[in-house]
Amino acid sequence: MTASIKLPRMLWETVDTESVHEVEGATVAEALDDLFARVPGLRGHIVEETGAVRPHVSVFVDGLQADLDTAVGNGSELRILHAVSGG
Amino acid sequence: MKLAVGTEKGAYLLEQTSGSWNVTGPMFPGWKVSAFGTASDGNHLAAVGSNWYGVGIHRSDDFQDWEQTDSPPVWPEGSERKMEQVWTFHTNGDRIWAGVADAGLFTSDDGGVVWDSVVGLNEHRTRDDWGPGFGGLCAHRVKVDGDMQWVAISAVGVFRSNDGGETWDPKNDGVDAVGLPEDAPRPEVGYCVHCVAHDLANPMRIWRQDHSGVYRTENGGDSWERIENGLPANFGFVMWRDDGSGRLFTIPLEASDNRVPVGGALRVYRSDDDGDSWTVSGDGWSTAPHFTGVLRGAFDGDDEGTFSFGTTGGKLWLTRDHGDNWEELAPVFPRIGAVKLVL
Repeated sequence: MTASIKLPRMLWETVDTESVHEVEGATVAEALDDLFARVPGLRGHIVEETGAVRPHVSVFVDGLQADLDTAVGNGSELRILHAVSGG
Repeated sequence: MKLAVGTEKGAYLLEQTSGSWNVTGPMFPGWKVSAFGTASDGNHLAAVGSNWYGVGIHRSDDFQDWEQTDSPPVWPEGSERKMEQVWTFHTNGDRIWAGVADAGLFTSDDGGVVWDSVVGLNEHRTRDDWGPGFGGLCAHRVKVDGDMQWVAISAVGVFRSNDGGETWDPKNDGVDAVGLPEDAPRPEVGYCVHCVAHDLANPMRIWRQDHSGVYRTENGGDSWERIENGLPANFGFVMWRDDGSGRLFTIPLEASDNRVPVGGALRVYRSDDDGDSWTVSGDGWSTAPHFTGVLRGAFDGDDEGTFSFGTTGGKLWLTRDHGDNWEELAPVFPRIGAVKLVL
Protein backbone atom coordinates (compact mmCIF):
# COMPACT_ATOMS: atom_id res chain seq x y z
CA MET A 1 0.00 0.00 0.00
CA THR A 2 1.21 3.49 -0.77
CA ALA A 3 0.06 6.16 1.65
CA SER A 4 1.11 9.64 2.70
CA ILE A 5 2.15 10.90 6.13
CA LYS A 6 1.80 14.57 6.98
CA LEU A 7 4.06 15.84 9.76
CA PRO A 8 3.50 18.77 12.13
CA ARG A 9 5.71 21.81 11.62
CA MET A 10 7.62 21.16 14.86
CA LEU A 11 8.90 17.92 13.37
CA TRP A 12 9.54 18.60 9.72
CA GLU A 13 11.14 21.94 10.46
CA THR A 14 13.52 20.74 13.17
CA VAL A 15 14.45 17.54 11.32
CA ASP A 16 14.75 19.56 8.11
CA THR A 17 12.65 17.33 5.93
CA GLU A 18 9.50 17.60 3.83
CA SER A 19 6.14 18.06 5.53
CA VAL A 20 4.55 15.18 3.59
CA HIS A 21 6.16 11.81 2.82
CA GLU A 22 5.02 8.97 0.61
CA VAL A 23 5.41 5.66 2.46
CA GLU A 24 4.70 1.96 1.98
CA GLY A 25 2.90 -0.21 4.51
CA ALA A 26 -0.28 -2.13 5.26
CA THR A 27 -0.55 -0.88 8.86
CA VAL A 28 0.35 2.26 10.76
CA ALA A 29 3.36 0.45 12.26
CA GLU A 30 4.64 -0.53 8.82
CA ALA A 31 4.04 2.93 7.43
CA LEU A 32 5.95 4.50 10.33
CA ASP A 33 8.81 2.02 9.95
CA ASP A 34 9.08 2.99 6.28
CA LEU A 35 9.05 6.66 7.26
CA PHE A 36 11.83 6.07 9.82
CA ALA A 37 13.89 4.22 7.23
CA ARG A 38 13.63 7.26 4.96
CA VAL A 39 14.13 9.85 7.74
CA PRO A 40 15.92 8.18 10.69
CA GLY A 41 15.87 11.35 12.78
CA LEU A 42 12.09 11.13 13.16
CA ARG A 43 11.96 7.81 15.01
CA GLY A 44 12.75 9.03 18.52
CA HIS A 45 10.36 11.95 18.17
CA ILE A 46 7.35 9.78 17.34
CA VAL A 47 7.86 6.50 19.23
CA GLU A 48 9.24 5.74 22.67
CA GLU A 49 11.94 3.28 23.69
CA THR A 50 9.14 0.74 24.20
CA GLY A 51 8.13 1.08 20.56
CA ALA A 52 4.78 2.68 21.45
CA VAL A 53 3.72 6.00 19.97
CA ARG A 54 4.64 8.81 22.40
CA PRO A 55 1.94 9.45 25.02
CA HIS A 56 0.91 12.91 23.85
CA VAL A 57 1.17 12.13 20.13
CA SER A 58 -1.57 10.62 17.99
CA VAL A 59 -1.65 9.12 14.52
CA PHE A 60 -4.77 9.66 12.42
CA VAL A 61 -5.64 7.60 9.31
CA ASP A 62 -8.06 9.24 6.93
CA GLY A 63 -9.34 11.48 9.72
CA LEU A 64 -9.78 8.79 12.38
CA GLN A 65 -7.55 8.27 15.40
CA ALA A 66 -5.53 5.11 14.89
CA ASP A 67 -3.12 2.79 16.67
CA LEU A 68 -0.11 0.90 15.40
CA ASP A 69 -2.26 -2.02 14.21
CA THR A 70 -4.73 0.09 12.25
CA ALA A 71 -4.89 -0.87 8.58
CA VAL A 72 -3.62 1.57 5.97
CA GLY A 73 -5.25 1.57 2.55
CA ASN A 74 -3.83 2.51 -0.81
CA GLY A 75 -3.89 6.31 -0.92
CA SER A 76 -4.61 6.70 2.79
CA GLU A 77 -3.62 9.97 4.41
CA LEU A 78 -1.86 9.68 7.78
CA ARG A 79 -1.31 12.66 10.05
CA ILE A 80 0.90 12.99 13.11
CA LEU A 81 -0.59 15.35 15.69
CA HIS A 82 0.31 16.29 19.25
CA ALA A 83 -1.94 17.16 22.15
CA VAL A 84 -2.90 20.76 22.73
CA SER A 85 -1.12 21.69 25.94
CA GLY A 86 1.60 23.83 27.41
CA GLY A 87 2.03 27.41 28.56
CA MET B 1 31.45 38.25 22.28
CA LYS B 2 28.24 36.36 21.68
CA LEU B 3 25.89 34.84 24.21
CA ALA B 4 23.64 31.89 23.44
CA VAL B 5 20.50 31.45 25.49
CA GLY B 6 18.47 28.25 25.71
CA THR B 7 14.89 28.76 26.86
CA GLU B 8 11.60 26.97 27.25
CA LYS B 9 10.68 28.36 23.82
CA GLY B 10 13.69 28.12 21.57
CA ALA B 11 17.25 29.43 21.55
CA TYR B 12 18.52 32.93 20.95
CA LEU B 13 21.90 34.39 20.08
CA LEU B 14 22.94 37.79 21.40
CA GLU B 15 25.73 39.88 19.93
CA GLN B 16 26.74 43.29 21.18
CA THR B 17 27.28 45.95 18.56
CA SER B 18 27.71 49.64 19.32
CA GLY B 19 26.60 49.14 22.89
CA SER B 20 23.28 47.45 22.19
CA TRP B 21 22.48 43.77 21.99
CA ASN B 22 21.22 42.36 18.72
CA VAL B 23 19.13 39.24 19.17
CA THR B 24 18.86 36.45 16.60
CA GLY B 25 16.15 33.85 17.00
CA PRO B 26 14.26 31.98 18.02
CA MET B 27 16.15 28.97 16.79
CA PHE B 28 14.27 25.67 17.28
CA PRO B 29 10.90 27.44 17.68
CA GLY B 30 8.57 25.53 19.96
CA TRP B 31 11.33 23.39 21.43
CA LYS B 32 12.90 23.65 24.86
CA VAL B 33 16.65 24.14 24.44
CA SER B 34 18.27 22.49 27.44
CA ALA B 35 22.02 22.47 26.82
CA PHE B 36 24.79 23.75 24.58
CA GLY B 37 28.18 22.21 23.93
CA THR B 38 31.17 22.32 21.65
CA ALA B 39 32.76 19.38 19.89
CA SER B 40 36.50 19.09 19.45
CA ASP B 41 36.09 19.84 15.73
CA GLY B 42 34.67 23.22 16.65
CA ASN B 43 31.06 22.39 15.86
CA HIS B 44 28.47 23.66 18.30
CA LEU B 45 25.94 21.33 19.88
CA ALA B 46 22.42 22.12 21.04
CA ALA B 47 20.12 19.74 22.89
CA VAL B 48 16.42 20.27 22.37
CA GLY B 49 13.42 18.61 23.93
CA SER B 50 9.68 18.61 23.85
CA ASN B 51 6.99 17.14 26.06
CA TRP B 52 5.50 15.70 22.88
CA TYR B 53 8.46 14.73 20.74
CA GLY B 54 11.32 13.79 23.07
CA VAL B 55 14.90 14.92 22.59
CA GLY B 56 17.14 15.81 19.69
CA ILE B 57 20.73 16.91 19.24
CA HIS B 58 21.68 19.48 16.61
CA ARG B 59 25.08 20.50 15.26
CA SER B 60 26.18 23.77 13.69
CA ASP B 61 29.46 25.34 12.63
CA ASP B 62 28.14 28.90 12.91
CA PHE B 63 25.42 28.80 15.58
CA GLN B 64 22.89 29.84 12.94
CA ASP B 65 22.25 26.89 10.64
CA TRP B 66 21.64 23.67 12.54
CA GLU B 67 21.37 20.05 11.48
CA GLN B 68 19.75 17.41 13.66
CA THR B 69 21.73 14.23 14.14
CA ASP B 70 19.92 10.98 13.36
CA SER B 71 20.66 9.23 16.65
CA PRO B 72 20.65 11.17 19.92
CA PRO B 73 21.32 9.26 23.14
CA VAL B 74 18.61 6.64 23.58
CA TRP B 75 17.88 3.96 26.10
CA PRO B 76 17.79 0.45 24.60
CA GLU B 77 14.66 -0.49 22.67
CA GLY B 78 12.14 -1.94 25.10
CA SER B 79 13.58 -0.08 28.07
CA GLU B 80 11.21 1.36 30.66
CA ARG B 81 13.52 4.37 31.02
CA LYS B 82 12.54 7.49 29.13
CA MET B 83 14.98 9.81 27.40
CA GLU B 84 13.43 12.98 28.77
CA GLN B 85 16.15 15.59 28.39
CA VAL B 86 19.84 16.11 27.67
CA TRP B 87 21.02 18.18 30.61
CA THR B 88 24.66 18.80 29.83
CA PHE B 89 27.53 18.30 27.41
CA HIS B 90 31.14 18.00 28.52
CA THR B 91 33.96 17.78 26.00
CA ASN B 92 37.40 16.41 26.83
CA GLY B 93 39.69 15.80 23.87
CA ASP B 94 37.75 14.08 21.12
CA ARG B 95 35.16 12.63 23.51
CA ILE B 96 31.88 14.28 24.44
CA TRP B 97 29.85 13.24 27.47
CA ALA B 98 26.12 13.85 27.61
CA GLY B 99 24.32 13.77 30.95
CA VAL B 100 20.66 12.91 30.53
CA ALA B 101 17.35 12.23 32.27
CA ASP B 102 16.29 9.51 33.13
CA ALA B 103 19.66 9.75 34.76
CA GLY B 104 22.54 8.41 32.77
CA LEU B 105 25.71 9.16 30.85
CA PHE B 106 26.45 8.70 27.17
CA THR B 107 29.62 9.37 25.21
CA SER B 108 30.32 10.28 21.62
CA ASP B 109 33.68 10.00 19.87
CA ASP B 110 32.52 11.43 16.54
CA GLY B 111 31.49 14.93 17.49
CA GLY B 112 28.02 14.14 18.82
CA VAL B 113 26.59 12.05 16.00
CA VAL B 114 26.64 8.57 17.56
CA TRP B 115 26.26 8.00 21.31
CA ASP B 116 27.19 5.03 23.50
CA SER B 117 25.88 4.24 26.96
CA VAL B 118 28.33 4.45 29.89
CA VAL B 119 27.23 1.07 31.16
CA GLY B 120 29.25 1.10 34.38
CA LEU B 121 27.22 4.07 35.60
CA ASN B 122 23.92 3.54 33.80
CA GLU B 123 23.59 -0.02 35.12
CA HIS B 124 25.15 0.74 38.50
CA ARG B 125 24.35 -1.71 41.30
CA THR B 126 22.49 1.10 43.13
CA ARG B 127 20.38 2.06 40.08
CA ASP B 128 17.15 0.67 41.49
CA ASP B 129 17.53 3.01 44.48
CA TRP B 130 17.85 6.17 42.36
CA GLY B 131 14.79 8.36 42.78
CA PRO B 132 13.87 11.62 41.07
CA GLY B 133 13.86 15.02 42.73
CA PHE B 134 11.67 17.94 41.76
CA GLY B 135 13.85 18.51 38.70
CA GLY B 136 13.63 14.89 37.68
CA LEU B 137 16.24 12.16 37.75
CA CYS B 138 19.03 13.77 35.81
CA ALA B 139 22.80 13.61 35.32
CA HIS B 140 23.63 17.29 35.01
CA ARG B 141 27.36 17.74 35.52
CA VAL B 142 30.37 15.81 34.23
CA LYS B 143 34.03 16.46 34.97
CA VAL B 144 36.99 14.59 33.54
CA ASP B 145 40.65 14.57 34.56
CA GLY B 146 42.42 11.74 32.79
CA ASP B 147 41.04 8.45 34.05
CA MET B 148 39.29 10.20 36.93
CA GLN B 149 35.76 11.24 36.16
CA TRP B 150 32.91 12.66 38.19
CA VAL B 151 29.21 12.86 37.49
CA ALA B 152 26.60 14.74 39.53
CA ILE B 153 23.11 13.23 39.56
CA SER B 154 20.05 14.84 41.11
CA ALA B 155 18.72 13.48 43.52
CA VAL B 156 21.26 10.67 43.79
CA GLY B 157 24.65 12.25 44.45
CA VAL B 158 28.17 12.52 43.09
CA PHE B 159 29.83 9.43 41.63
CA ARG B 160 33.54 9.08 40.80
CA SER B 161 35.31 6.75 38.44
CA ASN B 162 39.04 6.08 38.80
CA ASP B 163 39.29 3.92 35.69
CA GLY B 164 38.07 5.98 32.80
CA GLY B 165 34.37 5.37 33.39
CA GLU B 166 34.38 1.59 33.69
CA THR B 167 33.36 1.52 37.37
CA TRP B 168 31.84 4.18 39.61
CA ASP B 169 31.47 4.77 43.35
CA PRO B 170 29.17 7.19 45.21
CA LYS B 171 31.19 10.01 46.83
CA ASN B 172 28.96 11.88 49.26
CA ASP B 173 30.38 11.40 52.77
CA GLY B 174 29.72 14.50 54.83
CA VAL B 175 26.75 15.64 52.76
CA ASP B 176 23.32 15.61 54.38
CA ALA B 177 20.72 13.44 52.68
CA VAL B 178 17.53 15.37 51.95
CA GLY B 179 14.45 14.33 53.86
CA LEU B 180 16.12 12.09 56.43
CA PRO B 181 16.43 12.69 60.18
CA GLU B 182 19.97 13.45 61.37
CA ASP B 183 20.15 10.18 63.28
CA ALA B 184 18.93 8.02 60.40
CA PRO B 185 21.41 5.58 58.83
CA ARG B 186 23.22 7.21 55.94
CA PRO B 187 22.03 5.82 52.60
CA GLU B 188 24.51 5.04 49.85
CA VAL B 189 22.60 7.24 47.38
CA GLY B 190 19.94 9.93 47.75
CA TYR B 191 22.05 13.11 47.90
CA CYS B 192 20.59 15.95 45.90
CA VAL B 193 23.59 17.59 44.29
CA HIS B 194 22.61 20.70 42.32
CA CYS B 195 25.95 21.76 40.86
CA VAL B 196 29.69 21.18 41.16
CA ALA B 197 32.79 23.15 40.14
CA HIS B 198 36.36 21.93 39.95
CA ASP B 199 39.72 23.55 40.58
CA LEU B 200 41.38 22.93 37.22
CA ALA B 201 44.83 23.01 38.82
CA ASN B 202 43.77 20.52 41.47
CA PRO B 203 40.79 18.46 40.28
CA MET B 204 40.56 16.70 43.63
CA ARG B 205 39.24 20.00 45.00
CA ILE B 206 35.57 20.37 44.16
CA TRP B 207 32.92 22.82 45.31
CA ARG B 208 29.31 21.69 45.52
CA GLN B 209 26.00 23.50 45.66
CA ASP B 210 23.70 20.87 47.06
CA HIS B 211 20.04 20.85 47.99
CA SER B 212 21.20 20.59 51.60
CA GLY B 213 23.92 23.25 51.51
CA VAL B 214 27.27 24.33 50.12
CA TYR B 215 30.23 21.98 50.44
CA ARG B 216 33.88 21.51 49.47
CA THR B 217 36.05 18.44 49.12
CA GLU B 218 39.84 18.36 48.97
CA ASN B 219 40.06 14.68 48.14
CA GLY B 220 37.95 14.16 45.05
CA GLY B 221 34.75 13.60 46.96
CA ASP B 222 35.93 11.11 49.59
CA SER B 223 34.74 13.59 52.23
CA TRP B 224 32.88 16.90 52.11
CA GLU B 225 32.71 19.85 54.53
CA ARG B 226 30.22 22.68 54.71
CA ILE B 227 31.39 26.14 53.55
CA GLU B 228 28.51 28.58 54.08
CA ASN B 229 30.08 31.46 56.03
CA GLY B 230 28.53 34.72 54.79
CA LEU B 231 25.79 33.25 52.59
CA PRO B 232 22.22 34.50 53.19
CA ALA B 233 20.90 31.01 52.34
CA ASN B 234 22.52 27.70 51.54
CA PHE B 235 20.10 26.64 48.77
CA GLY B 236 20.67 27.25 45.08
CA PHE B 237 21.73 25.75 41.78
CA VAL B 238 24.92 27.55 40.77
CA MET B 239 28.56 26.88 41.52
CA TRP B 240 31.21 28.35 39.24
CA ARG B 241 34.96 28.84 39.59
CA ASP B 242 36.55 31.66 37.63
CA ASP B 243 39.87 30.00 36.87
CA GLY B 244 41.52 33.29 35.98
CA SER B 245 41.00 34.87 39.37
CA GLY B 246 40.30 31.78 41.46
CA ARG B 247 36.99 33.29 42.54
CA LEU B 248 33.98 31.14 43.28
CA PHE B 249 30.47 32.24 42.40
CA THR B 250 27.15 30.99 43.72
CA ILE B 251 23.64 32.46 43.64
CA PRO B 252 21.72 31.75 46.87
CA LEU B 253 17.98 31.17 46.83
CA GLU B 254 15.94 31.28 50.01
CA ALA B 255 15.06 27.60 50.42
CA SER B 256 13.80 24.49 48.70
CA ASP B 257 10.21 25.52 49.35
CA ASN B 258 10.76 29.14 48.25
CA ARG B 259 13.21 29.18 45.35
CA VAL B 260 13.74 32.91 44.96
CA PRO B 261 16.47 35.26 46.22
CA VAL B 262 16.15 36.16 49.90
CA GLY B 263 13.95 39.25 50.07
CA GLY B 264 13.99 39.51 46.29
CA ALA B 265 17.62 40.68 46.34
CA LEU B 266 19.14 38.85 43.38
CA ARG B 267 22.89 38.74 44.01
CA VAL B 268 25.85 36.62 43.05
CA TYR B 269 27.97 35.77 46.06
CA ARG B 270 31.67 35.24 45.60
CA SER B 271 34.52 33.78 47.58
CA ASP B 272 38.16 34.79 47.28
CA ASP B 273 39.34 32.21 49.79
CA ASP B 274 38.21 28.97 48.17
CA GLY B 275 34.87 28.98 49.92
CA ASP B 276 35.93 29.76 53.48
CA SER B 277 33.84 32.96 53.32
CA TRP B 278 31.36 34.59 50.95
CA THR B 279 30.39 38.19 50.16
CA VAL B 280 28.17 39.91 47.62
CA SER B 281 30.00 40.04 44.30
CA GLY B 282 30.69 43.60 43.23
CA ASP B 283 28.28 46.32 42.15
CA GLY B 284 25.55 46.90 39.61
CA TRP B 285 22.74 44.98 41.27
CA SER B 286 19.23 46.28 40.90
CA THR B 287 17.51 47.73 43.94
CA ALA B 288 14.17 46.58 42.49
CA PRO B 289 12.86 43.26 43.79
CA HIS B 290 13.86 40.31 41.63
CA PHE B 291 11.82 37.29 42.70
CA THR B 292 13.30 34.98 40.13
CA GLY B 293 15.45 31.89 40.13
CA VAL B 294 18.64 30.76 38.40
CA LEU B 295 18.79 27.17 37.17
CA ARG B 296 21.78 24.85 37.15
CA GLY B 297 22.48 25.07 33.43
CA ALA B 298 21.78 28.76 33.07
CA PHE B 299 25.29 30.15 33.43
CA ASP B 300 28.63 30.08 31.70
CA GLY B 301 31.96 31.82 32.00
CA ASP B 302 35.55 31.83 30.85
CA ASP B 303 38.89 32.28 32.61
CA GLU B 304 39.22 35.90 31.54
CA GLY B 305 36.60 37.37 33.85
CA THR B 306 33.42 36.97 31.81
CA PHE B 307 30.51 35.25 33.51
CA SER B 308 26.84 35.37 32.55
CA PHE B 309 23.72 33.86 34.02
CA GLY B 310 20.07 33.77 33.01
CA THR B 311 17.01 33.74 35.22
CA THR B 312 13.71 31.92 35.24
CA GLY B 313 12.23 35.36 34.57
CA GLY B 314 14.07 35.49 31.26
CA LYS B 315 16.74 38.11 32.02
CA LEU B 316 20.49 37.87 31.51
CA TRP B 317 23.19 39.27 33.77
CA LEU B 318 26.83 39.74 32.79
CA THR B 319 30.19 40.58 34.32
CA ARG B 320 33.37 41.11 32.34
CA ASP B 321 35.74 41.80 35.24
CA HIS B 322 35.61 38.67 37.39
CA GLY B 323 32.46 39.80 39.19
CA ASP B 324 33.44 43.33 40.22
CA ASN B 325 30.70 44.92 38.11
CA TRP B 326 27.43 43.47 36.84
CA GLU B 327 24.91 44.57 34.24
CA GLU B 328 21.39 43.36 33.55
CA LEU B 329 20.90 43.06 29.82
CA ALA B 330 17.79 44.60 28.29
CA PRO B 331 16.33 41.73 26.23
CA VAL B 332 13.69 39.54 27.89
CA PHE B 333 13.38 35.86 27.02
CA PRO B 334 11.25 32.91 28.08
CA ARG B 335 12.42 30.96 31.15
CA ILE B 336 16.17 30.44 30.68
CA GLY B 337 17.66 26.99 31.22
CA ALA B 338 20.97 27.20 29.36
CA VAL B 339 23.58 29.90 28.73
CA LYS B 340 26.78 29.63 26.72
CA LEU B 341 29.52 32.07 25.82
CA VAL B 342 30.11 31.62 22.11
CA LEU B 343 33.68 32.33 21.07
